[in-house]
Amino acid sequence: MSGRSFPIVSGRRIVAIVALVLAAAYTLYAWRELGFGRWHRPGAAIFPIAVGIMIAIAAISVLLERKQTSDELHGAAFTLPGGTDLRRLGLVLGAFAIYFVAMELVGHLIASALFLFVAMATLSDKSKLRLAIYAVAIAVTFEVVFVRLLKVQMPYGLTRLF
Amino acid sequence: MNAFEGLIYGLGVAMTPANLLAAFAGAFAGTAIGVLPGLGPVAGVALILPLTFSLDPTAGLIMMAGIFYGSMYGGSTTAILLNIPGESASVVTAIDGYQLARKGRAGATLTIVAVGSFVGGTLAVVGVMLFSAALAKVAILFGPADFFALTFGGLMVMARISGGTLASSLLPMAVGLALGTIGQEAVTGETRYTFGFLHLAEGVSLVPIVVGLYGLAELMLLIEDKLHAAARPQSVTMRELLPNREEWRRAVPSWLRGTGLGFLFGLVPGPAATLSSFASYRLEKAVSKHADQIGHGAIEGVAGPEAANNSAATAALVPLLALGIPFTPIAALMISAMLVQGVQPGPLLITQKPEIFWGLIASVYIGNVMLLALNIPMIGVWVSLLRIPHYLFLPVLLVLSVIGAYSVRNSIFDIWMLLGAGLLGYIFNKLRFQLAPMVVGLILGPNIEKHLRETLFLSQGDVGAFVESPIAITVWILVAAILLIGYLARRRAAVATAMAQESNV
Repeated sequence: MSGRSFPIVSGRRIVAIVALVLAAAYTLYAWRELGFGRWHRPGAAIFPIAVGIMIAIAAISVLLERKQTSDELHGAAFTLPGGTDLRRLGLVLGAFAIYFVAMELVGHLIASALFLFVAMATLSDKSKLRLAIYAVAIAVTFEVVFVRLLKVQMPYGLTRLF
Repeated sequence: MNAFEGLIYGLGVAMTPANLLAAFAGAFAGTAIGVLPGLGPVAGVALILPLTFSLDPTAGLIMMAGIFYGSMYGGSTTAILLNIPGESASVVTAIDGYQLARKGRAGATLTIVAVGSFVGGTLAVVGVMLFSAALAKVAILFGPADFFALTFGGLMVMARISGGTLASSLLPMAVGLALGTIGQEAVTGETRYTFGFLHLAEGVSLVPIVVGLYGLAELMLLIEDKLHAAARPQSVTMRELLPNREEWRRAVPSWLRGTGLGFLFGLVPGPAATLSSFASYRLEKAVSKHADQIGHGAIEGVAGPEAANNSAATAALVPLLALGIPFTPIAALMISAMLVQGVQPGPLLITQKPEIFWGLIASVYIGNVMLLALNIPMIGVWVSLLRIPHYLFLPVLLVLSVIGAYSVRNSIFDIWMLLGAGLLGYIFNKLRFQLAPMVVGLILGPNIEKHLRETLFLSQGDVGAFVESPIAITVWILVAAILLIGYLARRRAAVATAMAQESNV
């Protein structure tokens, strides 16, 4: 697997800083926008403020973790994909996100067939025709099983017109 | 109705054709989910959750339970044949299981595992039957302060014992609690953190979060790792499935030890199945006559942990059925299914919906028999599932995750939540943060807030009310003891490591 290694403790600290910022925003929102009530009739702000403080404490705990303890318990490094691995992951996730948008436009059947084809073509070097046949067959099977038999409501998009 | 009468009644409920079919479908789908990498038990149950809404509540819960213990069975198959655990509770199984497979005992090991899982699951149901009924009777007396102690204290215990540093669980748990505050608040009707998005007014849906954290995140790891796709299992023939007399003889005590240990772990909040399998492995190393072989391909190394993780998974039904409190992500999904079906989980379930309470317990007996019948003769089918190329099943699972996430509320917004949760799960996996406390925090958060506010309301704002009742005091003492023991054990291990390093220098 081609990729780059980073110290886990640094990654965890970045997550902790982001969590700290979000905790501050989350608590500030509760403080400003929600009712406090009284001790005997607590309002909607009390619990979120407590949770915000808890996130901040947890984030500070992560920031204060000693490198040696963290390395012993979590491992010293983590790997992020690079090169072809990153490209493959990015292409599949990109196609996945486009699939969500396409679903509302062209309906689930067509969007899932297109997504299946792109994802399979990204993950395999088999003939495109064969993959297209697989994609259509799987999409139709899903449509029959989930939408027709199990009555799961999926977006129809423009196919509603036909 | 005593426990025995309840079981007879439950068997009557579980043996109806619709419920038998639900148990079979759940066990079958669960085994497939456990065998296939990428979809663990939690994501599998989450995906099936929306489909159970159209079923009768009892049948829906029976199917979910079937998927749960089916995937526990199935997870060990990849651990033994490919050295790739299908789920975290099978990590230990891979150590000796894979070594046994390399010695040509793959078939016999799979049989020992299947029978061990059956023994663990079936004996644990006896405990569930007795404990749940008794605990439910006591739990009727619990007040809001007691439930607050149980839910919040339970979450703290879970955060302590989930693995890694305390912060590795505490941070995801607090994020889960924060997600639970989004939407319309139950007491005053105020909307919180919706920022004008109408979809958020109903709150954050559990299914896209769980499928994203456990399913999509795992699929992303499989997509980036091409070496993983190259693994192919060896074939297993029917003749190879029969263990020899020595293997049977050595497995029996390990099964029984694993079952007892697993049941005790299942009663404690946290990743009971995983922890119990590790504890059972250590127990086998300590007490087995063949301890020197453990780690190099000993049958005790798979028999004990597999019985333990199935026993623990079954025992986790006790707090769910008796108290209505979920301490595992799967239990959280089952509670969520009950709420959608209009069934109120909690101590009154046994009297108000005995068909669900006893039907579910009885179905675990039946499901375990079905799993034994499914796993041993059909091992060839499960092995062939492992031969499905990644380029086919990864995109199929991605589409399935979208159908599962969308169908709960017919909302595109939930699919974007799925993607967001998947990315978060991917990052948390890489950085060794725990995911289970986040899911349990999300589902328990609104309950904790409700009990907190009820206690303050009923006590006219007296904070002392949280530690007034004997039940709340007992729970807090137990929570404090578990947290303290965990801290001392970790400190002792750290001191021992430091001393060992010093003596090496």
